[in-house]
Amino acid sequence: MTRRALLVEDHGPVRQVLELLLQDMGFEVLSVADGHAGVAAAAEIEMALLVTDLRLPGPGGIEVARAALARLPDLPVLVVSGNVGADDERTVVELGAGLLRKPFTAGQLAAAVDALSA
Amino acid sequence: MQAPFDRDALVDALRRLAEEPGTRIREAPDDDALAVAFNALARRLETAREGARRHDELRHELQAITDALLDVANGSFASRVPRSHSGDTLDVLAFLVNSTADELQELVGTLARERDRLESTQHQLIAKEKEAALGRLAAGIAHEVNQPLTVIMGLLDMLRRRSDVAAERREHCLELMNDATSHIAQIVDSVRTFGRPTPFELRPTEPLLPVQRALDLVGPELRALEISLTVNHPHGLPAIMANAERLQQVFINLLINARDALGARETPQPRIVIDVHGERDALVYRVADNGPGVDPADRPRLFEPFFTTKLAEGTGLGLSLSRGIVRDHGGSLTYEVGDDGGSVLHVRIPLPGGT
Repeated sequence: MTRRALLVEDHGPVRQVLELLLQDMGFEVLSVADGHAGVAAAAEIEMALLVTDLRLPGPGGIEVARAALARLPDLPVLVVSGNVGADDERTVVELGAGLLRKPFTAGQLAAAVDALSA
Repeated sequence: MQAPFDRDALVDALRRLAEEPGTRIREAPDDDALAVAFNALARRLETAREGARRHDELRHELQAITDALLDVANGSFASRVPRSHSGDTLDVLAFLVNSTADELQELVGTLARERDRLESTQHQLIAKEKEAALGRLAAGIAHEVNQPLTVIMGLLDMLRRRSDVAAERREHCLELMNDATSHIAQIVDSVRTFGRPTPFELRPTEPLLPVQRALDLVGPELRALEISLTVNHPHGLPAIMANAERLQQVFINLLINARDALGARETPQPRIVIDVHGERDALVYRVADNGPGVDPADRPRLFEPFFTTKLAEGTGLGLSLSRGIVRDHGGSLTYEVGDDGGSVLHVRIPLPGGT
Protein backbone atom coordinates (compact mmCIF):
# COMPACT_ATOMS: atom_id res chain seq x y z
CA MET A 1 0.00 0.00 0.00
CA THR A 2 1.29 3.45 -0.90
CA ARG A 3 2.07 5.69 2.01
CA ARG A 4 0.59 9.14 1.79
CA ALA A 5 2.42 12.36 2.71
CA LEU A 6 0.76 15.73 3.28
CA LEU A 7 2.96 18.57 2.06
CA VAL A 8 2.28 22.20 3.06
CA GLU A 9 4.57 24.71 1.30
CA ASP A 10 3.67 28.11 -0.14
CA HIS A 11 6.72 28.60 -2.34
CA GLY A 12 5.71 27.06 -5.69
CA PRO A 13 9.07 25.74 -6.93
CA VAL A 14 10.10 24.42 -3.51
CA ARG A 15 6.70 22.67 -3.26
CA GLN A 16 7.27 21.00 -6.62
CA VAL A 17 10.73 19.85 -5.60
CA LEU A 18 9.48 18.43 -2.30
CA GLU A 19 6.72 16.64 -4.21
CA LEU A 20 9.29 15.08 -6.54
CA LEU A 21 11.63 14.08 -3.72
CA LEU A 22 8.86 12.61 -1.55
CA GLN A 23 7.46 10.71 -4.54
CA ASP A 24 10.95 9.47 -5.15
CA MET A 25 10.96 8.18 -1.57
CA GLY A 26 7.79 6.22 -2.32
CA PHE A 27 5.16 8.58 -0.99
CA GLU A 28 1.91 9.55 -2.62
CA VAL A 29 1.95 13.31 -2.07
CA LEU A 30 -0.99 15.57 -1.36
CA SER A 31 0.24 19.14 -1.42
CA VAL A 32 -1.38 22.42 -0.37
CA ALA A 33 -0.02 25.96 -0.53
CA ASP A 34 -1.20 27.76 2.61
CA GLY A 35 -1.87 27.32 6.31
CA HIS A 36 -5.66 27.26 6.09
CA ALA A 37 -5.68 24.41 3.58
CA GLY A 38 -2.89 22.76 5.60
CA VAL A 39 -4.84 22.75 8.87
CA ALA A 40 -8.00 21.57 7.09
CA ALA A 41 -6.16 18.70 5.36
CA ALA A 42 -4.24 17.79 8.54
CA ALA A 43 -7.50 17.39 10.44
CA GLU A 44 -9.03 15.19 7.78
CA ILE A 45 -6.84 13.02 5.62
CA GLU A 46 -5.07 9.76 6.40
CA MET A 47 -1.33 10.11 6.09
CA ALA A 48 1.96 8.50 7.01
CA LEU A 49 3.99 11.75 7.01
CA LEU A 50 3.48 15.50 7.31
CA VAL A 51 6.04 17.87 5.79
CA THR A 52 5.29 21.53 6.35
CA ASP A 53 6.99 24.86 5.89
CA LEU A 54 7.23 26.93 9.08
CA ARG A 55 6.01 30.27 7.72
CA LEU A 56 2.85 30.11 5.65
CA PRO A 57 0.09 32.44 4.60
CA GLY A 58 -2.60 32.03 7.28
CA PRO A 59 -1.81 29.62 10.13
CA GLY A 60 1.88 28.64 10.26
CA GLY A 61 3.51 25.20 10.13
CA ILE A 62 3.30 24.80 13.93
CA GLU A 63 -0.51 25.08 13.81
CA VAL A 64 -0.66 22.60 10.93
CA ALA A 65 1.51 20.18 12.90
CA ARG A 66 -0.68 20.58 16.02
CA ALA A 67 -3.84 19.93 13.99
CA ALA A 68 -2.35 16.74 12.56
CA LEU A 69 -0.86 15.49 15.85
CA ALA A 70 -4.13 16.10 17.71
CA ARG A 71 -5.68 13.38 15.56
CA LEU A 72 -2.63 11.25 14.78
CA PRO A 73 -0.31 11.50 17.83
CA ASP A 74 2.32 9.15 16.34
CA LEU A 75 2.50 10.85 12.95
CA PRO A 76 6.05 11.67 11.80
CA VAL A 77 6.15 15.45 11.26
CA LEU A 78 8.95 17.29 9.52
CA VAL A 79 9.10 21.10 9.63
CA VAL A 80 11.23 22.72 6.92
CA SER A 81 12.29 26.37 7.00
CA GLY A 82 15.02 28.73 5.95
CA ASN A 83 14.32 31.05 8.84
CA VAL A 84 13.99 29.37 12.22
CA GLY A 85 13.91 31.37 15.46
CA ALA A 86 14.92 29.90 18.84
CA ASP A 87 11.26 29.89 19.96
CA ASP A 88 10.17 28.03 16.83
CA GLU A 89 12.91 25.48 17.29
CA ARG A 90 11.85 24.83 20.90
CA THR A 91 8.20 24.42 19.88
CA VAL A 92 9.12 22.02 17.09
CA VAL A 93 11.16 19.90 19.52
CA GLU A 94 8.32 19.98 22.10
CA LEU A 95 5.92 18.68 19.47
CA GLY A 96 8.29 15.80 18.82
CA ALA A 97 8.67 16.93 15.21
CA GLY A 98 11.82 17.04 13.11
CA LEU A 99 13.37 20.24 11.81
CA LEU A 100 15.16 20.58 8.49
CA ARG A 101 16.74 23.86 7.48
CA LYS A 102 16.58 25.10 3.90
CA PRO A 103 18.47 24.65 1.69
CA PHE A 104 18.80 20.87 1.94
CA THR A 105 19.77 18.03 -0.37
CA ALA A 106 17.61 15.06 -1.34
CA GLY A 107 19.83 12.92 0.89
CA GLN A 108 19.31 15.18 3.91
CA LEU A 109 15.54 15.14 3.38
CA ALA A 110 15.50 11.34 3.12
CA ALA A 111 17.68 11.02 6.25
CA ALA A 112 15.38 13.40 8.19
CA VAL A 113 12.27 11.45 7.16
CA ASP A 114 13.92 8.10 7.97
CA ALA A 115 14.97 9.38 11.41
CA LEU A 116 11.35 10.31 12.17
CA SER A 117 9.92 7.02 10.95
CA ALA A 118 12.46 4.86 12.77
CA MET B 1 61.85 142.98 52.61
CA GLN B 2 61.33 141.01 49.48
CA ALA B 3 61.68 142.70 46.08
CA PRO B 4 58.41 143.28 44.24
CA PHE B 5 57.55 140.73 41.58
CA ASP B 6 58.46 142.31 38.29
CA ARG B 7 57.61 141.73 34.66
CA ASP B 8 60.82 139.80 33.85
CA ALA B 9 60.24 137.48 36.78
CA LEU B 10 56.62 136.94 35.58
CA VAL B 11 57.76 136.02 32.07
CA ASP B 12 60.32 133.67 33.53
CA ALA B 13 57.67 132.12 35.84
CA LEU B 14 55.22 131.68 32.90
CA ARG B 15 57.91 129.91 30.89
CA ARG B 16 58.56 127.55 33.80
CA LEU B 17 54.79 126.99 34.22
CA ALA B 18 54.55 125.86 30.60
CA GLU B 19 57.13 123.16 31.42
CA GLU B 20 56.10 122.26 34.94
CA PRO B 21 52.48 122.62 36.08
CA GLY B 22 53.50 122.66 39.77
CA THR B 23 55.36 125.95 39.36
CA ARG B 24 54.45 128.52 42.05
CA ILE B 25 55.89 131.94 42.86
CA ARG B 26 57.02 131.82 46.45
CA GLU B 27 59.78 134.44 46.50
CA ALA B 28 57.36 137.43 46.12
CA PRO B 29 55.67 139.19 49.10
CA ASP B 30 52.35 137.59 50.13
CA ASP B 31 50.36 140.61 49.03
CA ASP B 32 52.00 140.90 45.63
CA ALA B 33 48.92 140.94 43.40
CA LEU B 34 50.78 139.66 40.35
CA ALA B 35 52.27 136.73 42.24
CA VAL B 36 48.90 135.88 43.83
CA ALA B 37 47.19 135.97 40.43
CA PHE B 38 49.96 133.85 38.91
CA ASN B 39 49.69 131.23 41.64
CA ALA B 40 45.87 131.10 41.30
CA LEU B 41 46.22 130.62 37.53
CA ALA B 42 48.86 127.92 38.05
CA ARG B 43 46.53 126.00 40.44
CA ARG B 44 43.65 126.21 37.90
CA LEU B 45 45.91 125.01 35.17
CA GLU B 46 47.04 122.08 37.28
CA THR B 47 43.42 121.13 38.08
CA ALA B 48 42.53 121.32 34.37
CA ARG B 49 45.49 119.10 33.46
CA GLU B 50 44.54 116.60 36.15
CA GLY B 51 40.98 116.63 34.73
CA ALA B 52 42.26 115.98 31.21
CA ARG B 53 44.47 113.15 32.45
CA ARG B 54 41.55 111.59 34.32
CA HIS B 55 39.42 112.00 31.20
CA ASP B 56 42.03 110.10 29.16
CA GLU B 57 42.09 107.36 31.76
CA LEU B 58 38.30 107.02 31.70
CA ARG B 59 38.35 106.97 27.93
CA HIS B 60 40.83 104.08 27.99
CA GLU B 61 38.85 102.18 30.59
CA LEU B 62 35.65 102.66 28.58
CA GLN B 63 37.45 101.54 25.44
CA ALA B 64 38.63 98.38 27.21
CA ILE B 65 35.07 97.68 28.38
CA THR B 66 33.70 98.33 24.86
CA ASP B 67 36.33 96.02 23.34
CA ALA B 68 35.51 93.29 25.80
CA LEU B 69 31.78 93.66 25.14
CA LEU B 70 32.40 93.56 21.37
CA ASP B 71 34.39 90.34 21.83
CA VAL B 72 31.50 88.87 23.79
CA ALA B 73 29.05 89.99 21.10
CA ASN B 74 31.25 88.25 18.52
CA GLY B 75 31.20 85.06 20.50
CA SER B 76 34.69 85.25 21.96
CA PHE B 77 34.58 85.14 25.73
CA ALA B 78 38.30 85.15 26.49
CA SER B 79 38.90 88.96 26.89
CA ARG B 80 38.80 90.49 30.35
CA VAL B 81 38.77 94.20 31.28
CA PRO B 82 41.68 95.34 33.54
CA ARG B 83 40.23 96.32 36.94
CA SER B 84 41.22 99.51 38.82
CA HIS B 85 39.63 98.08 42.03
CA SER B 86 38.69 101.66 42.90
CA GLY B 87 35.04 100.70 43.32
CA ASP B 88 33.91 103.49 41.02
CA THR B 89 31.21 103.11 38.39
CA LEU B 90 33.62 102.00 35.66
CA ASP B 91 35.32 99.52 37.95
CA VAL B 92 31.91 98.03 38.82
CA LEU B 93 31.07 97.95 35.11
CA ALA B 94 34.40 96.20 34.39
CA PHE B 95 33.64 93.70 37.16
CA LEU B 96 30.20 92.98 35.67
CA VAL B 97 31.59 92.58 32.15
CA ASN B 98 34.30 90.20 33.41
CA SER B 99 31.97 88.06 35.47
CA THR B 100 29.45 87.87 32.60
CA ALA B 101 32.26 86.78 30.27
CA ASP B 102 33.33 84.17 32.89
CA GLU B 103 29.83 82.75 33.04
CA LEU B 104 29.41 82.76 29.29
CA GLN B 105 32.76 81.06 28.82
CA GLU B 106 31.78 78.33 31.27
CA LEU B 107 28.39 77.94 29.59
CA VAL B 108 30.00 77.66 26.17
CA GLY B 109 32.36 75.01 27.52
CA THR B 110 29.45 73.05 28.97
CA LEU B 111 27.51 73.35 25.72
CA ALA B 112 30.50 72.20 23.66
CA ARG B 113 30.98 69.17 25.91
CA GLU B 114 27.24 68.41 25.73
CA ARG B 115 27.30 68.77 21.94
CA ASP B 116 30.28 66.41 21.67
CA ARG B 117 28.51 63.90 23.88
CA LEU B 118 25.34 64.12 21.75
CA GLU B 119 27.31 63.85 18.53
CA SER B 120 29.08 60.79 19.77
CA THR B 121 25.76 59.23 20.89
CA GLN B 122 24.26 60.09 17.52
CA HIS B 123 27.18 58.49 15.69
CA GLN B 124 26.81 55.37 17.79
CA LEU B 125 23.08 55.25 17.04
CA ILE B 126 23.66 55.73 13.32
CA ALA B 127 26.31 53.02 13.37
CA LYS B 128 23.94 50.68 15.22
CA GLU B 129 21.08 51.44 12.83
CA LYS B 130 23.40 50.87 9.85
CA GLU B 131 24.53 47.61 11.37
CA ALA B 132 20.92 46.54 11.94
CA ALA B 133 19.91 47.57 8.39
CA LEU B 134 22.89 45.65 7.00
CA GLY B 135 21.88 42.66 9.09
CA ARG B 136 18.32 42.82 7.76
CA LEU B 137 19.67 43.24 4.23
CA ALA B 138 21.88 40.18 4.62
CA ALA B 139 19.04 38.16 6.21
CA GLY B 140 16.74 39.24 3.37
CA ILE B 141 19.21 38.13 0.70
CA ALA B 142 19.88 34.88 2.55
CA HIS B 143 16.15 34.15 2.85
CA GLU B 144 15.56 34.98 -0.81
CA VAL B 145 18.41 32.88 -2.10
CA ASN B 146 17.51 29.98 0.21
CA GLN B 147 14.36 29.07 -1.69
CA PRO B 148 15.84 28.60 -5.17
CA LEU B 149 18.90 27.05 -3.55
CA THR B 150 16.63 24.46 -1.93
CA VAL B 151 15.26 23.66 -5.38
CA ILE B 152 18.71 23.26 -6.92
CA MET B 153 20.32 21.37 -4.04
CA GLY B 154 17.36 19.02 -3.62
CA LEU B 155 17.08 18.11 -7.30
CA LEU B 156 20.78 18.00 -8.06
CA ASP B 157 21.31 15.52 -5.25
CA MET B 158 18.38 13.39 -6.42
CA LEU B 159 19.55 13.34 -10.05
CA ARG B 160 23.05 12.40 -8.96
CA ARG B 161 21.87 9.54 -6.75
CA ARG B 162 19.38 8.15 -9.21
CA SER B 163 20.36 7.04 -12.68
CA ASP B 164 16.92 5.62 -13.41
CA VAL B 165 14.96 8.89 -13.46
CA ALA B 166 12.50 8.90 -16.36
CA ALA B 167 13.37 11.33 -19.17
CA GLU B 168 10.23 13.41 -18.68
CA ARG B 169 10.78 13.70 -14.94
CA ARG B 170 14.43 14.51 -15.50
CA GLU B 171 13.42 17.28 -17.91
CA HIS B 172 11.01 18.67 -15.33
CA CYS B 173 13.78 18.68 -12.71
CA LEU B 174 16.16 20.50 -15.03
CA GLU B 175 13.50 23.07 -15.82
CA LEU B 176 12.90 23.73 -12.12
CA MET B 177 16.64 24.05 -11.53
CA ASN B 178 16.96 26.37 -14.47
CA ASP B 179 14.18 28.60 -13.16
CA ALA B 180 15.79 28.60 -9.73
CA THR B 181 19.13 29.74 -11.10
CA SER B 182 17.35 32.51 -13.03
CA HIS B 183 15.63 33.50 -9.80
CA ILE B 184 18.98 33.72 -8.01
CA ALA B 185 20.40 35.77 -10.90
CA GLN B 186 17.39 38.06 -10.63
CA ILE B 187 17.96 38.53 -6.89
CA VAL B 188 21.61 39.33 -7.49
CA ASP B 189 20.60 41.77 -10.21
CA SER B 190 18.07 43.46 -7.91
CA VAL B 191 20.70 43.82 -5.20
CA ARG B 192 23.12 45.30 -7.72
CA THR B 193 20.51 47.73 -9.08
CA PHE B 194 19.62 48.61 -5.54
CA GLY B 195 23.20 49.33 -4.56
CA ARG B 196 24.05 51.29 -7.69
CA PRO B 197 21.01 52.83 -9.39
CA THR B 198 21.79 53.55 -13.02
CA PRO B 199 21.11 57.13 -14.13
CA PHE B 200 18.29 57.72 -16.58
CA GLU B 201 16.94 60.54 -18.69
CA LEU B 202 13.63 62.34 -18.16
CA ARG B 203 11.64 63.23 -21.28
CA PRO B 204 8.22 64.83 -21.83
CA THR B 205 5.91 61.84 -21.40
CA GLU B 206 2.19 61.26 -21.87
CA PRO B 207 1.17 60.64 -18.22
CA LEU B 208 -1.01 57.58 -18.85
CA LEU B 209 1.65 55.77 -20.89
CA PRO B 210 3.54 54.18 -17.96
CA VAL B 211 0.25 52.97 -16.44
CA GLN B 212 -0.96 51.51 -19.74
CA ARG B 213 2.33 49.72 -20.36
CA ALA B 214 2.24 48.24 -16.86
CA LEU B 215 -1.35 47.10 -17.44
CA ASP B 216 -0.36 45.51 -20.77
CA LEU B 217 2.01 43.29 -18.82
CA VAL B 218 0.15 42.62 -15.56
CA GLY B 219 -3.46 43.15 -16.72
CA PRO B 220 -4.05 39.68 -18.24
CA GLU B 221 -2.97 37.97 -15.01
CA LEU B 222 -5.18 40.28 -12.90
CA ARG B 223 -8.17 39.52 -15.12
CA ALA B 224 -7.42 35.79 -14.93
CA LEU B 225 -7.56 36.13 -11.13
CA GLU B 226 -10.94 37.90 -11.58
CA ILE B 227 -9.58 41.10 -10.06
CA SER B 228 -11.63 44.05 -11.31
CA LEU B 229 -9.45 46.78 -12.76
CA THR B 230 -10.47 50.43 -13.25
CA VAL B 231 -8.45 53.42 -14.45
CA ASN B 232 -10.08 56.83 -13.91
CA HIS B 233 -8.59 59.97 -15.40
CA PRO B 234 -9.81 63.32 -16.72
CA HIS B 235 -9.10 64.27 -20.34
CA GLY B 236 -6.23 66.53 -21.24
CA LEU B 237 -3.80 65.64 -18.49
CA PRO B 238 -0.55 67.61 -18.84
CA ALA B 239 2.65 65.86 -19.97
CA ILE B 240 5.14 64.97 -17.27
CA MET B 241 8.92 64.87 -17.32
CA ALA B 242 9.52 61.16 -16.87
CA ASN B 243 11.28 58.03 -17.93
CA ALA B 244 8.38 55.86 -19.13
CA GLU B 245 10.27 52.55 -18.68
CA ARG B 246 11.22 53.31 -15.09
CA LEU B 247 7.82 54.65 -14.14
CA GLN B 248 6.20 51.63 -15.78
CA GLN B 249 8.31 49.46 -13.43
CA VAL B 250 6.86 51.38 -10.47
CA PHE B 251 3.28 50.66 -11.57
CA ILE B 252 4.11 47.01 -12.24
CA ASN B 253 5.42 46.76 -8.68
CA LEU B 254 2.35 48.49 -7.25
CA LEU B 255 -0.01 46.26 -9.26
CA ILE B 256 1.83 43.10 -8.23
CA ASN B 257 1.66 44.19 -4.59
CA ALA B 258 -2.06 44.84 -4.96
CA ARG B 259 -2.53 41.46 -6.62
CA ASP B 260 -0.70 39.70 -3.79
CA ALA B 261 -2.63 41.64 -1.14
CA LEU B 262 -5.92 40.63 -2.78
CA GLY B 263 -4.87 37.01 -3.17
CA ALA B 264 -3.39 36.48 0.28
CA ARG B 265 -6.70 36.64 2.16
CA GLU B 266 -9.07 35.79 -0.64
CA THR B 267 -10.81 39.18 -0.70
CA PRO B 268 -14.41 38.95 -1.97
CA GLN B 269 -14.93 41.02 -5.16
CA PRO B 270 -11.27 42.00 -5.41
CA ARG B 271 -10.59 45.26 -7.22
CA ILE B 272 -7.80 47.66 -8.07
CA VAL B 273 -8.62 51.29 -8.90
CA ILE B 274 -6.11 53.66 -10.43
CA ASP B 275 -7.06 57.34 -10.29
CA VAL B 276 -4.91 59.84 -12.15
CA HIS B 277 -5.41 63.56 -11.64
CA GLY B 278 -3.51 66.81 -11.93
CA GLU B 279 -2.87 69.04 -8.94
CA ARG B 280 -1.41 72.55 -8.87
CA ASP B 281 2.21 71.45 -9.13
CA ALA B 282 2.08 67.69 -9.58
CA LEU B 283 0.44 64.80 -11.32
CA VAL B 284 -0.92 62.26 -8.84
CA TYR B 285 -1.46 58.55 -9.44
CA ARG B 286 -3.53 56.87 -6.75
CA VAL B 287 -3.34 53.07 -6.81
CA ALA B 288 -5.91 51.54 -4.43
CA ASP B 289 -6.90 47.95 -3.69
CA ASN B 290 -9.64 46.58 -1.44
CA GLY B 291 -7.37 44.00 0.18
CA PRO B 292 -6.63 43.77 3.91
CA GLY B 293 -4.16 46.70 3.94
CA VAL B 294 -0.76 46.70 5.62
CA ASP B 295 -0.58 45.86 9.33
CA PRO B 296 0.04 49.13 11.24
CA ALA B 297 3.14 47.56 12.82
CA ASP B 298 4.63 46.91 9.37
CA ARG B 299 3.93 50.36 7.91
CA PRO B 300 7.06 52.16 9.17
CA ARG B 301 9.29 49.59 7.43
CA LEU B 302 7.23 49.32 4.25
CA PHE B 303 9.76 51.15 2.08
CA GLU B 304 12.80 49.54 3.68
CA PRO B 305 14.88 47.29 1.39
CA PHE B 306 14.25 43.56 1.89
CA PHE B 307 11.28 44.22 4.12
CA THR B 308 8.41 42.06 2.91
CA THR B 309 5.01 41.05 4.20
CA LYS B 310 4.81 38.39 1.51
CA LEU B 311 5.74 35.04 2.92
CA ALA B 312 7.41 33.28 0.07
CA GLU B 313 7.57 35.20 -3.17
CA GLY B 314 8.51 38.74 -2.18
CA THR B 315 12.02 40.09 -2.53
CA GLY B 316 11.18 43.04 -0.29
CA LEU B 317 12.75 45.33 -2.86
CA GLY B 318 9.70 46.41 -4.91
CA LEU B 319 8.54 49.39 -2.87
CA SER B 320 12.05 50.42 -1.93
CA LEU B 321 13.18 50.47 -5.58
CA SER B 322 9.91 52.12 -6.66
CA ARG B 323 10.35 54.93 -4.15
CA GLY B 324 13.90 55.41 -5.46
CA ILE B 325 12.63 55.66 -9.05
CA VAL B 326 9.85 58.13 -8.12
CA ARG B 327 12.33 60.23 -6.14
CA ASP B 328 14.63 60.27 -9.15
CA HIS B 329 11.69 61.97 -10.89
CA GLY B 330 11.67 64.56 -8.09
CA GLY B 331 8.45 63.05 -6.78
CA SER B 332 7.22 61.03 -3.82
CA LEU B 333 5.72 57.60 -3.16
CA THR B 334 3.61 57.30 -0.02
CA TYR B 335 1.30 54.80 1.63
CA GLU B 336 -2.07 55.38 3.25
CA VAL B 337 -5.00 53.26 4.34
CA GLY B 338 -8.08 53.52 2.13
CA ASP B 339 -11.64 54.07 3.43
CA ASP B 340 -12.31 50.35 2.94
CA GLY B 341 -9.16 49.38 4.88
CA GLY B 342 -7.23 48.50 1.70
CA SER B 343 -3.88 49.90 0.64
CA VAL B 344 -3.58 53.19 -1.26
CA LEU B 345 -0.27 54.20 -2.80
CA HIS B 346 0.24 57.73 -4.04
CA VAL B 347 2.76 58.46 -6.75
CA ARG B 348 3.34 62.22 -7.12
CA ILE B 349 5.34 63.42 -10.09
CA PRO B 350 6.06 67.17 -10.15
CA LEU B 351 4.81 69.05 -13.21
CA PRO B 352 7.38 71.12 -15.11
CA GLY B 353 6.94 74.64 -13.73
CA GLY B 354 3.57 73.75 -12.17
CA THR B 355 0.21 74.40 -13.85
